[in-house]
Amino acid sequence: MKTLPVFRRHKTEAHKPPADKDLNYSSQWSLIFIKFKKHKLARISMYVLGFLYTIALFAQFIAPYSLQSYDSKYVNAPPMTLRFVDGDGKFHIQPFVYELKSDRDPDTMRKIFVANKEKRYSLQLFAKGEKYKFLGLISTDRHLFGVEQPGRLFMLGTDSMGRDMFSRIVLGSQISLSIPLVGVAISFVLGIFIGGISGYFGGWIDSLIQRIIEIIRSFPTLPLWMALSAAIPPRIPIVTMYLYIVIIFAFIGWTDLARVVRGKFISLKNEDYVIAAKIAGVGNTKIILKHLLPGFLSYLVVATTLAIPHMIIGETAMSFLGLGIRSPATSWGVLLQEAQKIENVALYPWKLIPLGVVIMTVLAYNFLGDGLRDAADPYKK
Amino acid sequence: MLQYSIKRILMAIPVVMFISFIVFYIIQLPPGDYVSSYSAQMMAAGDVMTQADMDQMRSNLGLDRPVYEQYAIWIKKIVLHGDFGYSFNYNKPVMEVVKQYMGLTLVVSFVTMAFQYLVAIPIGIYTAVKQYSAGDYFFSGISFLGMATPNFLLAIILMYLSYTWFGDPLLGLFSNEYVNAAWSMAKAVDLMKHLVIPVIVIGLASTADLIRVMRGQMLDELNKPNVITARAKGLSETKILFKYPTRAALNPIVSTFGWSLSSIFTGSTITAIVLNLPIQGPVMYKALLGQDMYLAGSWLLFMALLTVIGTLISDILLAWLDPKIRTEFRGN
Amino acid sequence: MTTQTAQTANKGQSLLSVQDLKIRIQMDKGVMHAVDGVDFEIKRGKTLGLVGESGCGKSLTSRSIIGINPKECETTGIIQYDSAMDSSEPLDLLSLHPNSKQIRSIRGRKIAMIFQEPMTAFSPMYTIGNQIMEAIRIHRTKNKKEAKKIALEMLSKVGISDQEKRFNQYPHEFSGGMRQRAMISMALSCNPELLIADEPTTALDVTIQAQVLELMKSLQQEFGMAILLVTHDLGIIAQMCDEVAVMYLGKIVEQAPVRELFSNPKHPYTKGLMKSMPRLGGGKGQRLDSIEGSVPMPIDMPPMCGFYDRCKDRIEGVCNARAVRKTQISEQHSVKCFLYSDERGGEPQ
Repeated sequence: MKTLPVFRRHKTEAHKPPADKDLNYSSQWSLIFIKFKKHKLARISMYVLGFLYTIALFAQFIAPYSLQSYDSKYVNAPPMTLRFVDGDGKFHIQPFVYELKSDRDPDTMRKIFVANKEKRYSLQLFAKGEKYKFLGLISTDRHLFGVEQPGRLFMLGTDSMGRDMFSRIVLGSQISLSIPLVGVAISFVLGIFIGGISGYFGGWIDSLIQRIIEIIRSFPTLPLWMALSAAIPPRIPIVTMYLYIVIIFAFIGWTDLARVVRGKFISLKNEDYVIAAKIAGVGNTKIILKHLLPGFLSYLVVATTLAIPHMIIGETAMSFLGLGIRSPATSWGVLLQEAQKIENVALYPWKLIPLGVVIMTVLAYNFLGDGLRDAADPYKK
Repeated sequence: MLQYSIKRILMAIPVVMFISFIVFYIIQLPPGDYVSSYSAQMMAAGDVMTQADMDQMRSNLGLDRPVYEQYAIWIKKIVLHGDFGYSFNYNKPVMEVVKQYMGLTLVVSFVTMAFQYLVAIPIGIYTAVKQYSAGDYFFSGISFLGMATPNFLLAIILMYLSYTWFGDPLLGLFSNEYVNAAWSMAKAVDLMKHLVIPVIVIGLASTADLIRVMRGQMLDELNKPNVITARAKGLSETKILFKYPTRAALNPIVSTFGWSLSSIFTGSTITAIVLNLPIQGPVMYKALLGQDMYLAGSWLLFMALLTVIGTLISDILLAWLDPKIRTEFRGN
Repeated sequence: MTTQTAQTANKGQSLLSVQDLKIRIQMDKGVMHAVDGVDFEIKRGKTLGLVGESGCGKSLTSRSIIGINPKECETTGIIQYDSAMDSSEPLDLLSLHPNSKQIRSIRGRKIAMIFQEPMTAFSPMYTIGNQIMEAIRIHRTKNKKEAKKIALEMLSKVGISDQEKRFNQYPHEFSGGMRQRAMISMALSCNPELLIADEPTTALDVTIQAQVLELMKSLQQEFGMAILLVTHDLGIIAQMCDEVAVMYLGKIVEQAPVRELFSNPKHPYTKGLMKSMPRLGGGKGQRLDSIEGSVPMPIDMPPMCGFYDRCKDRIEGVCNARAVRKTQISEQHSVKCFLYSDERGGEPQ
């Protein structure tokens, strides 16, 4: 049922639900906000994403080790347990880990790790470690946490080169979480710009742009990604590689948005208020920016949010196949390369942990997009 | 109707032509060509090729000409002789490589497609009719997870589970003893067994998507006045459900039919690589990496063609299913 | 036809009586009392008009008779239905399960319904003929040919020419007026004894409106059915009805024969409605009155008169202090207003 317009009350304010007043007089954006807050999953997702991006921002500080750091003594080590109680049953206020000692399984003769209960290393906040530049500005060697030297801390185990998985996931999130944002931002701008031109001006420009979009959309996405990624030269600086990949994603992504924008422009440009503005002599740019865009900006935000998960999965897939981000840079897809072999998964299941992070991020974006979509049309019940 | 279809097909031709050129251009983008990757291979095997050898090989293969010339020759051969060129990797004509893998690719694709629709449509109807029920939440949860999990990783997990439960990761499409065996009942059963994981993996994401779409469509349709009219006529709920909302909700779903086939074709690539399926995905992947340009080019061209044809089929289906469009054609 | 003679023979007797009908809907903000204790009676062969603003609960009331409201509606009360089409005993329609065979054999057969939006009320997927034949094939004959014959006959009765062609056309090929005619033919195809018309002409042009109303009137005479006419348009009420019930905020605030109501309206809301109607010869430059405000949401309303806030004649301390009861003005004229109630002086509870 539609929300009824406000009823003019003379006196009996008492039994009127207080929320009504806000709902009836609020602007569109605050309505969207109110509605969005009601969507529990979307709200939680927003916090989750906020958390993940905060980690990515301070990754060098949070990760105990750098991307280059490895230790051939600890290859494929399992995740360590943080303990409070030692072997003698003594309780320690400061959590600690035992030293890892390599050993051989008596049955399979395979290398395994056991905890050496003789050696304890306590966990320290703001521990000294490798040098890095905090936020790329301040040179420091303090990390959020670490263990006493010469101890080692592998919270999520290590990979086949003895590199700390936790550090690599945290550091990899910088690329994995930013590529979709930058990619979507580029396609957002391209989509609005090209779609807008196509829809607003119509005529031959429109036909031309539509043909181009049709052609780009006829490309099979995945093989096209693969073909384009294969074209990236192997030994190039990380920043260049990053840009290449972002551009490849954006190049394919913008067409969807352009179609939405075009459709909206066409349906809105014949609305009375737009024609009125035109008759009043308002310029094209102003009409587009002031009258047309605000009319569907919320839809665009939703469409963009929902496009992000696809990009995350796409980047993961490409890097997984070795066609995306390559060493020494790291993304979650690169980390998952080790999970390609079933033996690895069977023997070292912690190598699937990056998958959990990917799924969590994609789910969070999906729910966020869902919540935004519901909220984007605040007048609909 | 026929006129419309012919018009659409004619309009698709320039699109495909244009795509084929871009495809060819993209293929030769990577630095180096087949000869350089071949010589690198030879070098690794201890056999060094001289510059003269390489130039000789290039001119034999026609790789020394400009791109557009190579393209023109390639297209000319396709159009005049149906000759898609030569695969350097496989050392035989591209068409033969295609034929070798096409059968199983089609089997996997069609089974996946059937799986998608047969699973998604009933679940979509169920979750819409029983909105907010435990079943609805269950299936919604699964379909969200299905959309969020990169399918190649799902493949690894399923393989691992199958390995721990059945002692067989079910790699490939056949067990060893059947790979080269003639077709028999046992071989077909074996294929079926091996199809389970690929079909789930390839199909899950789009099945999840379809469930969401079908559910949304059904919810829209269930609230339409024509359902109330039908109820007021005295129809039973079951009859109403299938005749009105389901029929109307199926329209947009069925129109994705043509499009879905090409998306399965392309979507299966990575999964096929991970699961080591003898279908087009891995072939294509190797061709791209090894600069086997005619093979890779032909595949990309097929894919683009398939996408165009798929869209075409969808448009025609949609027109045919929608009485509004259909009667327009009848009227003319 | 025997049923028709039976219907006409008993003209004026009670066909359907609704007693204390309440419909509640659970919403985010609380329970909405969409229909709150409604009583009325429909007599055989007569027309009862149910008039009120949108959102007053008149559509829910009419739909609850054949149990086609959405699941969220919690309905209580009695809807006593005494069919003359067969020898069945009077029964309470509300006691039937909304999906039961029994109520389905009544829907479309004995009680039929037409809706406001003839575009959306038909499915765009099937031909008009297909949708008309549906009811006939459930209730009258299994034979497809026979059903088609009846359907074509009905189409010609509602004034649709070229029925063969029209039969095979889709709803979008019909104009609005034609669609509503088709809808009427569909509703009447099984000779119902009660036709519920929910805003049947609201979506139509004025000239088409008149034609459709005229058609309904003449078909009522031919078939001898009773009509429950739901509308917000007093003009249609005046033209069509024998009796009128005025609904406001889920309650019937005034009920009377049509002449009585127009000549002697009692409830301030009814009076307001009358004043807001344009009249011929009303004098130049005379402004139409309007009722201030709009219908509030009946959620968590304290016991009081629902019209209190908009009423010009409200009595503070009385009208907003208790629920108002029905007062009989005359045998057939009743009103729910403290102005006519002898409770007015009583102590507020």
